[in-house]
Amino acid sequence: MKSILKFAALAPTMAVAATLMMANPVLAADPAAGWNEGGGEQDEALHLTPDRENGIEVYEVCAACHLYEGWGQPDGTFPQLAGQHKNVIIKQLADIRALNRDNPTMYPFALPESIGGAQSIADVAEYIAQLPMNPEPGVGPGTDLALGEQLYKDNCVRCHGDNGQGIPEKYYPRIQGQHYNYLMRQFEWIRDGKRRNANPDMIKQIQGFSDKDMAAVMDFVSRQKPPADVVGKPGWENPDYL
Amino acid sequence: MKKTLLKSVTILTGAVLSFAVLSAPAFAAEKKKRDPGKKLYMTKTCMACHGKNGAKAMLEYPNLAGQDEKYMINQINYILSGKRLGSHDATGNPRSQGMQGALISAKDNTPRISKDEIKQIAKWLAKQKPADLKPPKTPLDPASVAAGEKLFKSKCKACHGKEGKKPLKGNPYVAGQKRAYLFTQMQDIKSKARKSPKSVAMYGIVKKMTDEQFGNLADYLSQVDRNAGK
Repeated sequence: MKSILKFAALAPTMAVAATLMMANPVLAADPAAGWNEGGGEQDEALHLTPDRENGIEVYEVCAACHLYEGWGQPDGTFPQLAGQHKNVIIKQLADIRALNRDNPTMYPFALPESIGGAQSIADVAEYIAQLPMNPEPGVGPGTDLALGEQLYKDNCVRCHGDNGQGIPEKYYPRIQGQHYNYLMRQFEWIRDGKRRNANPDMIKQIQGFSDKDMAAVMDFVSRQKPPADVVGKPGWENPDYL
Repeated sequence: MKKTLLKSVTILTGAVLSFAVLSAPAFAAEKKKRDPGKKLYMTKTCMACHGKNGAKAMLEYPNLAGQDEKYMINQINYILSGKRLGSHDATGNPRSQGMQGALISAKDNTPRISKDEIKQIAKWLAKQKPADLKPPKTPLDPASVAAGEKLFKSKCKACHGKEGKKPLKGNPYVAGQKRAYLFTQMQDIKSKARKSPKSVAMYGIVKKMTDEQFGNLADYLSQVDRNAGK
């Protein structure tokens, strides 16, 4: 009985994965195969000494969508990057350009001909990490915060920390203060197997989450406050691009 | 006391002077207002891929400067609604997916650009000077260019106009467009990956054409200069 139930829970994921595989040869691999293989550019970029001036120059490309402040769009179409851990930015950027994370909108901008090699990844990651964060991120409806808090405590704390700060050395991202709709979309893609570089432990952990659970916990996360010293003032404009 | 006063007078004079110097061009710039279409082109992230004034598109994306206004409005709407998909790009997604990702809101999966804003952008882009020709990375084969010109005259001219420079309204200018873009689009129309009404109208024409012929046409058209003689 229990195994039938488990199968029923997994079935939609498998159906999605199967559809993706048929439509798309690139996706034919195990959805979680790309989690932190490391190596290549990721390792190289992690060990290079960042150059701030080049970071500023490279980031200008990113600013077209993520804005000069790195604050993204409160509707969640583009995430906030400011204050994200350097390791996380390096990993995600390397993953996107290695086609390990499916992101057709960003892909062309992650290419070496757009931003440069491993050194540029190191430079821009360091630059992004030190940008002060958006003090007014997009948040959810605020109707289910108690449920969200409980779910967070039970499922997320071990990796993302007690209020969403993440663990840099393990590539676990800072999620506190991220735009709610961006969090929703990524969570859903991770749960449903669409985000290929998701951590398999997380995929397992959140399989039982209903859409209501997801909304509640993401709402809670979007409202978690980063430490005051990494948050910008409302209306701050990045002086590097004035 | 006196010294401090003197110092502050100096600073004040300096401040007034630099204000006068700085504000002169600022006032001049204020008179000339930025076109609302241009502003939207920048803030809605179009510029990231299609480049400055629509004339410096990156990678294989099309230049849009001087493109037909009605054609652009239709294509943007088709891309947002999923009616124009195209073949798969390097990420394994339909070519239009990247643009959708930038313009469809994560909030409710509806466009974060209004119909009116689309019109303003298209109107502004249509007025921009077409991109100057870029010499090809490897010289084109003159025989291929000549074959392309001949094909164009017999198969394409009726709708796209003489030398691809005078399309019927609602059809695109193809003269001076990037070679790689032209080639892919012809392939996509032949494979029916592009399904919008104007593409359907081309199905019969491209049905029996080969990749070699598409190459001839792309070679020829990519080197027709829309700015020549202007």
